[in-house]
Amino acid sequence: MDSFERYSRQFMLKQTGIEGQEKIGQAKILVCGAGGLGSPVIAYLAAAGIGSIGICDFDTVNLSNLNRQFLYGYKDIGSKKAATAKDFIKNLNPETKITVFEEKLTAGNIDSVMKGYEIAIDAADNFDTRFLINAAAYRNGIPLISGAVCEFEGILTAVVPKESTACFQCVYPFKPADEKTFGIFGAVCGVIGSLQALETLKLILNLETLKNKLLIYDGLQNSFRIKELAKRKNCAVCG
Amino acid sequence: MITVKLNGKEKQAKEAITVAAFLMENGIDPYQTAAELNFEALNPQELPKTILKDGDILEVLRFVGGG
Ligand SMILES: [Zn+2]
Repeated sequence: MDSFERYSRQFMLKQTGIEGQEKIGQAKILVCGAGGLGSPVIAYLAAAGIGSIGICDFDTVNLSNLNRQFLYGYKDIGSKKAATAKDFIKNLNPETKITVFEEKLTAGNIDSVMKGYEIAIDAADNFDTRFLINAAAYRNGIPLISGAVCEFEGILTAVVPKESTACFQCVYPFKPADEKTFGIFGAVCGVIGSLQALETLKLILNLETLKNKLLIYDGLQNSFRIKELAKRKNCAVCG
Repeated sequence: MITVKLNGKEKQAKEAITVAAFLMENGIDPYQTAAELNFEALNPQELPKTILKDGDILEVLRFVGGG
């Protein structure tokens, strides 16, 4: 019983137990973005024993990614991120099945990419893709764990369409006028990505998650605060 | 002078100030900020054009969208 030993520290949690670990082992999770957030999300979900993970990223590894995207190393520069992430996970946990999507997410392919997944994770790096993922998750009734970072700040929320919760576009009805490349420490991505992985596991285990709540992290002030969210009546996605 | 509630805190401002100018006076970059005036979301392009009135309630949240 290799897997009994592998997950022994999770069985010990009363919120998990054998039954919870079985749910984790049967879960199918789609991770949209294998960058700064996607790295901790994918690594922690695979380590926790998620049965099947879809990794969606069309990008290739470059040197400036390596301060935060720890699924990749120097020898991976120029390689496709999704396939390289799959190799990393094969070593970490061969029990996790990985499916790789290397096309850019568009309105034309997102529904078919999401099909069959029970939770989606938004780890994208721009508002257009985030709006696309949020709308598709809502339309397909798939819960979404949405996390984002910028400089020393991060945000996190859980969107559960079947419970008609507020969505990502209730948080941001409009995208910014322009999106510039910003500075970031990998550790800030680590905070939010780890929390995204944890919210995903909690959702699988039917524990309380950040539904109708926005967690706002400030790494300079060392603060976490929670802003209550309400569905917007005129939301383009869920209203 | 007018009084505007910014994220729950009362702030003084001069008459006929725009949302963008008011945010800058309070150390917030209006181009990186999602704003809601009296519970209605403002299009970012409207921030330099929208004039604040006494008693307005302004809620702002920085645009955080990176991954
Ligand atoms: Zn919404």
